[in-house]
Amino acid sequence: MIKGYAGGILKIDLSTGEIRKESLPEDLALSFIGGRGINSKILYDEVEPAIKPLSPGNCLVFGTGLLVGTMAPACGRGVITARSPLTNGHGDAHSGGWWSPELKYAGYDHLVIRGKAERPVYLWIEDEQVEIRDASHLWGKFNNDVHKIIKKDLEDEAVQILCIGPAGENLVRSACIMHGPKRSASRGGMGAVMGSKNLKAIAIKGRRGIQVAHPEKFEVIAAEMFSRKSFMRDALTFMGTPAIILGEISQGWSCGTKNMQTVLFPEEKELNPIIYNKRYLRRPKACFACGVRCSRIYTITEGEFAGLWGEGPDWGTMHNLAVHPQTTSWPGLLKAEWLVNQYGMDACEVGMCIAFAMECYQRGILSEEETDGLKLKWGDKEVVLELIEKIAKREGFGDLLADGVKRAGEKIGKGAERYALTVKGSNITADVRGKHGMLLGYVTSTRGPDHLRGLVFDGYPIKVLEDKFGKEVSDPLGTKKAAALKWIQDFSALPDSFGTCKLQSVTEGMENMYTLQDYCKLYEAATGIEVSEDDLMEVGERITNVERSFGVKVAGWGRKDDTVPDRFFDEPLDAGPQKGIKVKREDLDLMLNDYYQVRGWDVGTGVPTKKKLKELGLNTVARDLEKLIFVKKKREGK
Amino acid sequence: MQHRRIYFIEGAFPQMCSGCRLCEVVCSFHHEKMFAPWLSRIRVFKKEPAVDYPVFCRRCKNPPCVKSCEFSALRVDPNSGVIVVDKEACIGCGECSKACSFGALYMPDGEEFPLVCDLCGGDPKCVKYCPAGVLKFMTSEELARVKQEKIALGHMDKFLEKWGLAPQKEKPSPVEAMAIGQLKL
Repeated sequence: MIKGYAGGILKIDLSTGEIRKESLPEDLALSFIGGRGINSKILYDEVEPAIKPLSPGNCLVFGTGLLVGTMAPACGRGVITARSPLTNGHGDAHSGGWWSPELKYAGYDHLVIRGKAERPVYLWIEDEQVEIRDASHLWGKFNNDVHKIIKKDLEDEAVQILCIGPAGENLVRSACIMHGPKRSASRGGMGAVMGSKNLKAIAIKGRRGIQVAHPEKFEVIAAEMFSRKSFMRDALTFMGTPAIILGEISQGWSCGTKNMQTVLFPEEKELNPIIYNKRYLRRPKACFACGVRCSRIYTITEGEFAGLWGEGPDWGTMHNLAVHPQTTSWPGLLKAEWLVNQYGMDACEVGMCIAFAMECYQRGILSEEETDGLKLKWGDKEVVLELIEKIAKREGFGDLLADGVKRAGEKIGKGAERYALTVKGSNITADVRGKHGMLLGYVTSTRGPDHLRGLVFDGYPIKVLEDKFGKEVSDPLGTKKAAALKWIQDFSALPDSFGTCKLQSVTEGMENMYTLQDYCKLYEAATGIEVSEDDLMEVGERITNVERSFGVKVAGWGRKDDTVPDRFFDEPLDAGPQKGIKVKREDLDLMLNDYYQVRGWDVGTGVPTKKKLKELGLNTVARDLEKLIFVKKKREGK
Repeated sequence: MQHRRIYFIEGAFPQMCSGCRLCEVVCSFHHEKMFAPWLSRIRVFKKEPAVDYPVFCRRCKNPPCVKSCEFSALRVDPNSGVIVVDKEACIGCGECSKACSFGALYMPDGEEFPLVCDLCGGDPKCVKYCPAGVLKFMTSEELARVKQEKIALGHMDKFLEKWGLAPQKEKPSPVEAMAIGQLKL
């Protein structure tokens, strides 16, 4: 076993009740590192195109990472991968907290769940002992209550729990997997996959230490990293990711509101995070071994929602549950966040569903009869709260939105499709007009539009990219983004695979923590195996290619899907420094051509070429895709 | 080191324990050469919604754990002042964990002897790495001096200002400036 890993994979089939413990194959660890990398490879190998996302055959893979559970800064991330019910392609969701280290302490780097239990169950993993337990008393319960009941059942306050809320049980396609009152693995509807397996929760307790190859060296590297200072990190400690909202308020425009109809939201100043800090904030909260502590505990002591407590909110929640529907009440926002956390839903997807419905109502596409008598007016917090409950319970109008904006748009018809803003079925939360780096990043990301898959941030120069690819990569309207984007996408696979937080790496613009050199040094100290920067970047490229190939294999994704909705091509921005600008189709085409070329993918179809895949050692993937293309050509020939 | 002990002192937000458990991780790494928080000498008690509280050996001057041991397996080291377990004499009866007022000294499941804080030989790792800086390593006297200064200056401030002797106020850090609206992002 390579040092630094727990060394095991736990495989559970809920249909048969079979529990298998395997050791982590060394070649898999060497070529994919761990976390997202190994998860993606397992998903690729196990799930064939015929297996639908919500069928028992879909695999739900939980992954940790090489540095998880150690003293490397912010090493508490875990990743959950499955074929996504939202996009039908590759889906993975990441969360911080404590479950990932605990799973590793229990001796497993990965947990693979297949099949479907006959009745609601939960898993109890305590080192070697793995039990499938009855969960009928947990079914239908809120996230916080599930945590409380399981802790009482097991008579242990320290177990780490992952669970779904009622939304996951109801197979809402934006359901997430919750951990604690706030941590959630949100994107892609992983909660619905878990719900489709009748798996309500997973409780973990581990008691096996993790050893590294060079303990002294490891501590020296980690100590040096902890001692680095940064204004951004201090700002995150002080106000969490909502610091971005403060930036938007002072610059006078946001990154998209009212379902991207405008960037203007003057009342956003009511949502100033400093107001939150003064009125509701109580204590800082951190994930495992993290010095940033960007999460916070709040309580509301007076008014309509007196007695409410929770953790958060973060930027994604604020942006989608308040800035998009243009509500301005802090208590209303906190209640909305509390609801999505208790029902277990992705705040981003739900917020965009609500904004989408509001725009359809504004344009007369939806009438009050269709919305169960609700007046979907912008800025009405009651409507937001009502819709969250309806979506989670799949009640009336909510049932329509519970399948995500894209499907809702298709079902409503009457031109509603135009206002469903998605790439590959997953929603776009921030505007891409006048931001070419973000545009190309969104359309080529392997799980749908996403800032966490690596973006060439426009207007926020990232030094390492400018050094490597020249100053022009930071030009928002430049088209020379491909090479830089490839680099940062491949690099972004590393934090996910090592199990460290993205908020602490160059992908989010903070260059002082987790550079490529740091990963090399920590990899060597942990495993004792020497590695070069190029080796790690190749691993990142391999991961991206496997994920892209999975999308091609199961969902037929290709160049035709690498685009944004018509709104961004047709309607110019109404304000801000990029006023009047819209996305030009020829610009996107140009950048895509460039990007596929840099990636070594087929420029016409956007599919990874046999040559590229073989170069990366992905021979079976190369064979699969070759077969696929052969079958497709044959069919078209007929 | 003989008189210094670990103190848990919280200040204004964000100088509070956030429950990251880095102290447990580094403690177990230092003593056991592996990452195993349950083998840490310092434990963070966590309970939702908002309880994060580090528990550690207070290095009592009249330690109930030592007194409780009928086999004299626990003693206070005269040089360093830390509590030492004599593994020859200890029978692992657990009487000491009953005696400890803080729940700081005990045998984790699977361990034969109680784990006791040895202050890492004078440079406690938990204090060194605590990201919030809420763990302090000082003597009772040093702690008192800090409090004395605070209360004394609080009392004298208005006079010092009147006499033109007020110490110059430090410039707020960028984050503080942002919080009071002086600095815009």
